[in-house]
Formats: sequence, structure tokens, C-alpha cells
Amino acid sequence: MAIPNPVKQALAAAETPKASSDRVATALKAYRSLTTDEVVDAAISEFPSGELGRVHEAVWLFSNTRISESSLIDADEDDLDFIALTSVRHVVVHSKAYDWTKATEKSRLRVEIWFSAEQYGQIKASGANCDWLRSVLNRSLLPNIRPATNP
Amino acid sequence: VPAKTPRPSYAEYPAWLKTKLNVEIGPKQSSHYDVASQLIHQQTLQSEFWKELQAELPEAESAYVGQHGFPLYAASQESLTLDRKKWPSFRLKTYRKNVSENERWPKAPRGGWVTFPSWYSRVPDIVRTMVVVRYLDGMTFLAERMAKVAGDQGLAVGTERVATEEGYYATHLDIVGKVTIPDVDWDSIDVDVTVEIQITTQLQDNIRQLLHGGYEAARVAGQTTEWRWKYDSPAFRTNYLGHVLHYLEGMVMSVRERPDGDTKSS
Repeated sequence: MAIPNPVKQALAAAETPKASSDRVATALKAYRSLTTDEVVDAAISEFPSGELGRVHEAVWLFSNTRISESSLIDADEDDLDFIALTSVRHVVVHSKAYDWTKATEKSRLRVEIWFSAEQYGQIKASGANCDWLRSVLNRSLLPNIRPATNP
Repeated sequence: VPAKTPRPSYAEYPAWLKTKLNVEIGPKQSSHYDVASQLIHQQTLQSEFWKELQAELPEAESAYVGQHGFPLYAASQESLTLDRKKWPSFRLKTYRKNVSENERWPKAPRGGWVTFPSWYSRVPDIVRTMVVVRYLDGMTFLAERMAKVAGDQGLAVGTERVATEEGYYATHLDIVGKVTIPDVDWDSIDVDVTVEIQITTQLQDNIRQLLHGGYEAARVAGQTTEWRWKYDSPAFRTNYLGHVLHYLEGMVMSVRERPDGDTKSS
């Protein structure tokens, strides 16, 4: 099964190891069995972790209508969350050692996405993955922030 | 007489934490817990201790059969399953420790308030496994052997014989090891976490499964002792059944050890 280009680019930017890439392929298989939405953007959430090396914790998939997230850590359980793209209410961006042009090894980026007061997600990036996450912010997150609507 | 400080209900707990301790217990903490608990689970499964523990299962069976002539386990026990506590259950546990079961209320429980991020070291069963043995003496037998496995790996071990008022009897082993979890912001931190091994008997396991819904409801509502006298209540029937089963298991041991009916202590 072909991996969509945005996912390939996200995997490469995060230097994703094979075990985590295989988990992404599993998540994609579940995604395709549940929706025909095309994946137009993607990000890998990861952080550096001493002796463990880099921890690749989750894959985020963006279509033109939805955002999906799947954990890459727990081998016993697969989960896939879906939420409407129009649910993005508030985005908080934290950065460290990042000049917003070219990431270095020490650069860190952390994006908090609030869908409601009770629903929240976070994408982390380190090193070169910061540049990719910044581009995802520009393309897929910031243009889709919507005000909450009254029921 | 000073007025008693009322304990907040579980519904009031988040607001109480914010007002009293300036601590949040919302989506950010839930999200952090999901990743941290998955990493705790993953690192435990990959640890040398866990591999040695699996290898000990058939060894313990052989040793017990050799000593007593009876099987150790209630059913074939080829491997252990490591369960991860999910966020709603973990959140409830912090409420029990901070509020409903806090003997020092309104002061902090022994060791301080159980809050983010130190709660990873304060809640002992974020990951846990259970082994069901056939006879009462199997609990101590297996606990001692598993404690030795942990000790040989240089891990701290605590053993507790659990006997609750609600009729739950088991042996719990708490094994403390270091794992790496994400810190609040950027990188990671090493924390001591406890892997809990519950060893119980077949009869206790059966009653535990029957009672599980009742336990959860009581934990949310806060324990009372009224059930002791309400003989027609589900709690009365099921809790005392737990105690009676424990007594019967003791009698089974007695018969097994002295099948000729000799009641003199050996």
C-alpha cells in the first residue's frame, strides 16, 4: 500500500525508525478502511529522550475536512482519533533555540492545539523536524482556526 | 469543637484542586498521562526484569509441584499480561488518595499531595499484572520467588498482604524501577515508577470479577460502612461472600495438609 507523499516527508523529517514507520503504516491502513479522505498533510510528534533516544510518540494526519491522530508507542493497542478540521479553536506555539528559518540540532517546537476547553492535542518536534512542523502549522493548522459557534 | 472540613465530591475535585493547590487536572494532564503511561508500559515490557519474571513462571510451577504435589496456577500460566491503567481510572485514584481515603484530611496525605507530575511515582499500579494461583499458600510461595527475581535485578521490592473490609484478599508485590517519560515541556525526565503484581486465588478472582462494578461505584461515592448491617444489600452479600471464601480457602489448605482428618497442628 503506497504511503502518501506528505506522510513520507513527515517520516523523513522526523528521522522515523522502522518500528515507528511500521506503526504509521498500520495507522494508515486503519485510516483508509474508515474514510476515503485523502491525506493532504502529516506530522510526526517526537521528542529527544536521553537513553531511549528519540521517542516518536504519534502521527498526525490532515485531510481537507478532518484531523486524525494515532499513537506510535503502545504496541498492544492501536487507536485512531478523528476530529473535524473546523474544530481547531486555539493554537499555542512554544519554541526553543529556533530561529524560524533553519532548525539546528538543539531546536525544539511544541504546538498545542485546543479543540474545546476539554479537548486538546500536542505535536512536538526536535531538530530538523521543527522546520517540517512549522510548515504544517502554516499549511494546515493556522488557516483553519475557527471561532466557537453557539449550538 | 472546630468545624470539620467537608471533602469535595469527585465532581467537585478539579475545582477543589485548582482552588486549594493551584493544580490543573484537565486535558493537558490527560494527554501527558497517555504518553507517559504508554512509555512506562513499553519500557517495563522491554526490561530485563520482565523477561526474567516470565522465565520464573514455569520454574515456580515445577518447584511447587515438587514440594506439594499440586499445581501452582489456577490455569496454564505461560506468560504474564501487563495492563496499563487508563486516565479515568488513574484520575479517580488520585481523588481517593488525596480526598476520599486520605486519613489526614484536610491535611495532605502521607508523602504529600498526589499531583502532576510527581503522581507518576506516587500511584503504584500505573502498570500491573495479575497471577491467579489455585491454593492460598500459592500466593506467598509465588510472591517470595518473584520478589527474589526483582531483588536479583537490583530493584526495590515491597510485599503487602491485602485484606480489605470489602472481602478482597490478595498478595501485592510492588517493584520500583526507573523509567523515562516526557517532561512537561521539551525533553524527558527519569522517574521511579512501581509495577504492581497482584497474586490472588481462583475463588477470590471469581468474586473480584463479579464485584468489580460495585467496587468502582463505591470508590467514586466514597466508602461507607452502612452495608455491614444492610443484609439485603448487594454490598452485604458480596463483601461477606469474599470473607467466607477466604475462610473456606483456609479450610481447603487444612484438609490438603491433613487429609486424614488430624486437626492437631503439625
